[in-house]
Amino acid sequence: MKTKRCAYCEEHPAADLAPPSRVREDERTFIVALAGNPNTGKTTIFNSLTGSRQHTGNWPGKTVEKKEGVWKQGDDRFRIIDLPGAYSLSAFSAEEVIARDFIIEARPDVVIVVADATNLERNLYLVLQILEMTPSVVVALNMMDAARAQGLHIDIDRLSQRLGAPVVPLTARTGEGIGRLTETLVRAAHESRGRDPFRFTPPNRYSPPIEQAIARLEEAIGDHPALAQRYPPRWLALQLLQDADFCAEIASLPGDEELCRRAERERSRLQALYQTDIDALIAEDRYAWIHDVVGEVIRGQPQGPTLSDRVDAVAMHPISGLIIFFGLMWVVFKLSTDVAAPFVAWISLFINDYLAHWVLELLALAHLESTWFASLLTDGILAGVGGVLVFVPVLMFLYMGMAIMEDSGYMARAAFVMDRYMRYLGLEGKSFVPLVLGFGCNVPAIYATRTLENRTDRILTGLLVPFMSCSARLPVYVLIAGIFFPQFRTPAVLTMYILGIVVALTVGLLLRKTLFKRSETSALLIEVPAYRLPTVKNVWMEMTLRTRAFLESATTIIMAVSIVIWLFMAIPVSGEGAFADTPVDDSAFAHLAGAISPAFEPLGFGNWQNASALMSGFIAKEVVVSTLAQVYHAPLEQPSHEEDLGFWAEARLAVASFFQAALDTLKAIPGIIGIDLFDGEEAGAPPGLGAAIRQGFESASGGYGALAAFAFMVFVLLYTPCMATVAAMRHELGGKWTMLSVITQLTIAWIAAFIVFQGGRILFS
Amino acid sequence: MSPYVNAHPSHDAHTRPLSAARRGDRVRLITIHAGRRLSRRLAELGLTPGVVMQVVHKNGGPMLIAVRGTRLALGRGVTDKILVEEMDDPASVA
Repeated sequence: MKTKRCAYCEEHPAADLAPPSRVREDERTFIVALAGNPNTGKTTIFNSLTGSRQHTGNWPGKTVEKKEGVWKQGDDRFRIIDLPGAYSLSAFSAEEVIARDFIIEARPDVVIVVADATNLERNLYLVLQILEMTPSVVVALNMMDAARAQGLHIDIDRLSQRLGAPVVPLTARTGEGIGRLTETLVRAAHESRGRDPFRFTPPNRYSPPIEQAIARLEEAIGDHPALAQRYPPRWLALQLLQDADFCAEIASLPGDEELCRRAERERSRLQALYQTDIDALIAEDRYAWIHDVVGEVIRGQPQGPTLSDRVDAVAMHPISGLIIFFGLMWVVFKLSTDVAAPFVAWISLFINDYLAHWVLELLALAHLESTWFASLLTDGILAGVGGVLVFVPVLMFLYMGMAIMEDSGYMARAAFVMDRYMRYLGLEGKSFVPLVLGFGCNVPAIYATRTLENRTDRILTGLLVPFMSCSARLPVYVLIAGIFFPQFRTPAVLTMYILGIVVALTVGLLLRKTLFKRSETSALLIEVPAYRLPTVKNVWMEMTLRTRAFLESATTIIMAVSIVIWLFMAIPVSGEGAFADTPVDDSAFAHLAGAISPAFEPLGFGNWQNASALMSGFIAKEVVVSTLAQVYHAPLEQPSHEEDLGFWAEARLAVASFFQAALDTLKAIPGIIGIDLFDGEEAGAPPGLGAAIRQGFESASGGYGALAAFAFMVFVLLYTPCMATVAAMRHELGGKWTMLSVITQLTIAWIAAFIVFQGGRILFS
Repeated sequence: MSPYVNAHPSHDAHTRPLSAARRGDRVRLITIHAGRRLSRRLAELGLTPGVVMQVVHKNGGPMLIAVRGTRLALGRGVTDKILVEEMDDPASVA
């Protein structure tokens, strides 16, 4: 038996709940589930009901996002749970299982089903499935404005009559009808109390042979009170008839075995009668009923090809579609890199310069400025805070771009246009988006895998993202290539980018042939919604909520690592310096690096200095260059506070520099059109550093310095990008895949650097 | 219409996979030859026997079809498995 957890709380396995009690804090708190197809404006309705009183997390044990919010009316509290968007509740995807289990196990007081008025027939399928599960349903018929514009007239009263549930017409984008929805919700919530949640009649009937089978199973279920008190009998009968796997899920309850055998018999009888799968029959019967309802309530026909169809003639065209896609990708990429860059620079300046300086000033008041405590605060904690916060602008801009692409409906077109190309790699069309974003920063790229429908695709894409050479790796290439291959700097750097792509392609194909061999290649099968104008409110909520989720999940891990590194840097091994005032060479960090450096000897760069740089590069690639400078004893030019301006003057400067950053961002927006990959990276290595690094590589490699340097660049390209990426992966893919990813990256990096160094030695000797 | 009486017409010379249809073609679904999972998924999205659909765009492999008032993007792996018959009248979008 699968260990299934209660969908609502994490505490107990679902099977312990017999009969499950409704989760209720008190009599005036109502649980409301919000269900609906993707692209129906469910999020907009959720946002208008809950405002900013919402929080996101993951469903217990799943990497599917859970959003919850609170809405209050008088003494009544409504906890609104946003179920994952799904086209049906057949438990084929994690999203569907969650939605189904929540409605069945947690038994919300009301289920609001959001349906798209312009797409009633398909949307009613989910509505009908939910009407078969619970008696307290409110149908929110959204996008009424678009339906009117298409000339559709929907007889709301008749629809409500046929469904046996209240139907509220509304346009969530403009807020029209939201008031009516809340009134209906309050009424439905109060009515649901004191009603037997299992005694209700769904509006539809199946073909007589199926109805007879349902009736017989229902009767058999009636003989098992444990089951009858736990599930609506008719729904359970239908479920058992369709889904052999469901038997395994209820198998711990008494009476199941005999019941499952009966269901099996009924199923084979029906299949023999119709010569086809029972699933298809049931779907067909449901659609037949829906078709009948739709024919009765809708007047008017949409005329001719819609505006969306005309736009799609260009946007989904094999050639112009590609051009539009790459254009938009370029814009999103630029948003999360160049446009965000001034804010990133400002945050890092503010924290490492101003804030650190002020902290030291404050400590000076207590004569603590040159103690280990001051060092912990500035080099450990503040550095960690900075390491997290610099991602805030990057993620905000990324989520803005992604939210606009999603909300406008463009993402489905992107999937369509790129599908045939990504298919060769065993990925779906949308996988291209995270991979491209990876060139800017792997962290947002990992979060962007969330837009993929299929979990296998999400994992596979997430595993490939780290091989995309992010912008933080560029300064390392530029420094090393500038020292060892000054004439071939650009080709050397470009080689790294191409090598990253080649490795990703190879790993992707290998994984598809091995680990993911058995998982169904998800054939392209998506709805393409009509284009819609994204609302500022939705985009802003996306940006802030998701960025907050990153801060909540990544802060701990990044802070912890930052403090551990500080500690290692602070401990003097031979006792020459004092704690937190240790020469780098004698720190525990250097000794640890010395201990692992033999692992890099076959790669040509096995000395403690290079190992130190790689170790700190595990935290963030941004610090590889500064670590190299530190360990090779050639400090980089760093603007420091020569003169003391006093707190207020500095505070003014800090504010001024923020506005400068905002201005620079505005200036960077036109730059979206231009390419300036190497801009700002011109400053070569300080003379002393170049010589020291050259000598370090020469001696570590036995005279093959340039080769070792190239192998070092390859290693930097391929091993773990940074702690923030690891934290993001843990959040999105789970711990198991993250571990696998880190190990794979280290292995591949080592092997590739080995091939470069040893292969090159044979070639050039 | 009673959905279970004549919903499964027999295969004949006019049937072909959906992937063979051209842009603008209006076709009726005969049957789906796919695994249980995919068949059920398609049925739930409205692709049930007898339903009429139209090819709106075709992009090499994947195609965009109009069915039950909605637009679905289907990859080659799906369209190969859907058997359809051509409709005679080239009327407007389904």
